[in-house]
Parts: sequence; structure tokens; C-alpha cells
Amino acid sequence: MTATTTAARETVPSAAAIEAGDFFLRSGPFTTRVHTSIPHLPDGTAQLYEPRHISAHRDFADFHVTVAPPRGVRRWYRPQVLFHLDGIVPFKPLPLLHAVPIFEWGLNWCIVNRANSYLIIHAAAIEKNGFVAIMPGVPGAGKSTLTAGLVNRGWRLLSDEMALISLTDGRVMPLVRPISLKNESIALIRDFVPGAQFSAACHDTIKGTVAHLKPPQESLNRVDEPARPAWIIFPHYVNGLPATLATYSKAASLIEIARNAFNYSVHGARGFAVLADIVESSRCYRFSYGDLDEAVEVFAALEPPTRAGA
Amino acid sequence: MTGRWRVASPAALSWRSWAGEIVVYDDGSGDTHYLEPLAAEVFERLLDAPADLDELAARVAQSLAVDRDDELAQAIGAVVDKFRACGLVARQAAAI
Repeated sequence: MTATTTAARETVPSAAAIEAGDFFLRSGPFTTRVHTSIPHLPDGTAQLYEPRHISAHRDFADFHVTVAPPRGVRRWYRPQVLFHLDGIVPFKPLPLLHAVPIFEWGLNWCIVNRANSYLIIHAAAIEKNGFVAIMPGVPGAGKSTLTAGLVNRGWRLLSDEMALISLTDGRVMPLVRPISLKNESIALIRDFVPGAQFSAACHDTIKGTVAHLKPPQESLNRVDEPARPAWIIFPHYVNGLPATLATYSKAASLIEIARNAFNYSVHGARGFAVLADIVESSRCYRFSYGDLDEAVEVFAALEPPTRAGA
Repeated sequence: MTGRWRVASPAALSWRSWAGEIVVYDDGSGDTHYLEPLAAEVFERLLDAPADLDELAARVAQSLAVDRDDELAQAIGAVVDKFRACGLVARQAAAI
């Protein structure tokens, strides 16, 4: 796994390449070459990503993916879409209208299964004043909704789904990609962030109705700035409950964060040491919330750890 | 549960301790274990030196400044049993 660093070739997007369905997409340290014959996918991608991160040419791509209809009758009859990575098809076909979500989920799959140069935690990561809050969470915990709210109230988005932890210095590498919102969260964030740019909502996916939110421009402008973890926060959305931040045991936090790491077992003792160092130097909390405005207030009052320890 | 117990493979273990709790990573099995305070104490005392359950109860009682009674002995027996099941401790071979 080699991160592409040829910024000089990261030129203006080629409208022709995008239109032709053959383009390179940079997201965080990864470059993906995308081939697609799905008419609305290039537009959908251009809508959600930073234009300068889409280009007609790069010297190197970490992933070569194809998003296309399956062969056979489903090309025309109730048309479907498949995601391919180097000939591997990780998911069953989905309806053609779900091309944008399957592309996003496919990129997640590529990173989780191929990017072992990082320790990857199933967590959101946001930053303020140089300090990162890592927020691991099982699906349904309200992690993405909370992240979408906070990054539109002064926090910088590093990642919505996967916190990429450097194995050399423990910093979190930005992987700024569209935030995946589901069901009631879509309307909630539309109200909370007037003018937010969303993909078209896809109904009846395996996750219900799904829409992707374009990250704030400030986050897109700073995709090359990693930062150091300062808080580990386990969020939990509970409708109607007041926001509550409670200190959580470091040992239990380490166990939970390891459980949420996609490739912890791959890195063995090194992975344990990196996670343990992060826990050591961070403040650990459980956070329940039922209202985004209250959550924003609680996060605004977070105290960074002292240098001597958390 | 008779005999003397020792930490099975100290060289394969990494651990961190916070507020009386310990997280142990076992590079041999790839497992990560959470040790609540009593289990953490038992683990640390076995790192000091192998011990049978009586000796272990004495060390733990002294270290935690608690009574060495049947309740403590039973709790320590249960901890050692769990450690044995997950491979953290092994019975020490008898001297020949």
C-alpha cells in the first residue's frame, strides 16, 4: 500500500473523463481509479467530492474499481449495479439507482480489506484546535448524525466511518469522504445545516433510505493534516434524553476500541501498543444524547488532556 | 485447581494498567483480555512469582489489605480458573 503523493498531477478535474466514466478519485491517502458505465454515478461523485480530488490522470491508483451493470437480462430488466475491485465482487447486485451508495460502500470495503498500512477503527474522527475526538460506534449509535452536526459547528471532519491511525506516530490521518446518513437523520441534518449538499436519497437499500452529505469545505481543504487523538468518546443516541458525558474506564475503552478496529488482529502486538498509547494519552467518555444542539454544547466544553497524561 | 500456577508465556504478553484494571494482549493467541481489579491483582502477583492458591490468597490479601477468608479464596480460585481457560496461566511443572 503506497499513498499517492504526486500533488503536481492532481490537476483540475477533467469534465470529459468524468463524463466518460473513467477518472481518478483521491480520498485521504488513497487514490481510486473508477470505471463506470452508470450514467448518474460520475455526476453523483462530482457532487459529493472536492473537484480538485477528481482528475483524468494520476500516476498511481491504490484501487482499481468498476461500477457497472451485471451481464445478462438485469442490464435491462429491473436494472442492477455491481461493484468490482480488481475482478472481485464483494457485494450482491443492487438496484441501479443505488449506484452512489454501492460505490461508497465499495470504497469502504477496499480500504478495510486492503489498507493495512494503517490501524483502521470503525469510528468517526473529528478535530478542533489540533485535538482529535475518536468516536467508535456500532451502527445505530448515532455516530454519523453526531459527526455531521459537529463538523458543521466548528469541528473538522477527519472521517465518518473509518479512523485511520498511523502505526508510526498514532496520529489520525484524514479520510474526508461523504457522510452516510440514514432514515430520520437525513431530514434532521437538512434542518440542522441549511444549504447542506446531499446526494439524491436512495430508498429501500439494505440500510433503509440513505443519502450522503458532502463534507464542509474547510475539512476538504485540510485533507493532508493529520492530528493527535485527545478524546475517545463512545456515542449513543437516545431519543429524548439530555446530553450526558460520563468518564469511562481506560481499560474498558481499550477493549471496546480494539473490538471496533477492522484490522487489529493483523497488527498484533504493534496494534495493541498503538491503541494503548492512544488510550493512555486520551480522555475516555461515554456520551448519550438526544438533541444535536445539546451535543454541540457538550463537545465545545471538552477539555484536552494535559501533557503529563490524560 | 491444585498445584502451583505461573503466567504461561510472559514474553508473549503485553499489558497496560489503569486505575487497578489491566488489559493484556497475548501475542500467542492474538487475544486481548480485560482484567477487572481482582483479576488484575492476581495477574500481577503471579508475575512476581509462581504460587499455589493458598500463597496467592496470602499475597493478594496483603497487597489489597483485605481479610484472607473463604470468600477471597473462592474468588481467586475462579480467577485462576478463567486465566487457565484462556491460556494466561499454566500449572508449573513439578521439580524432579
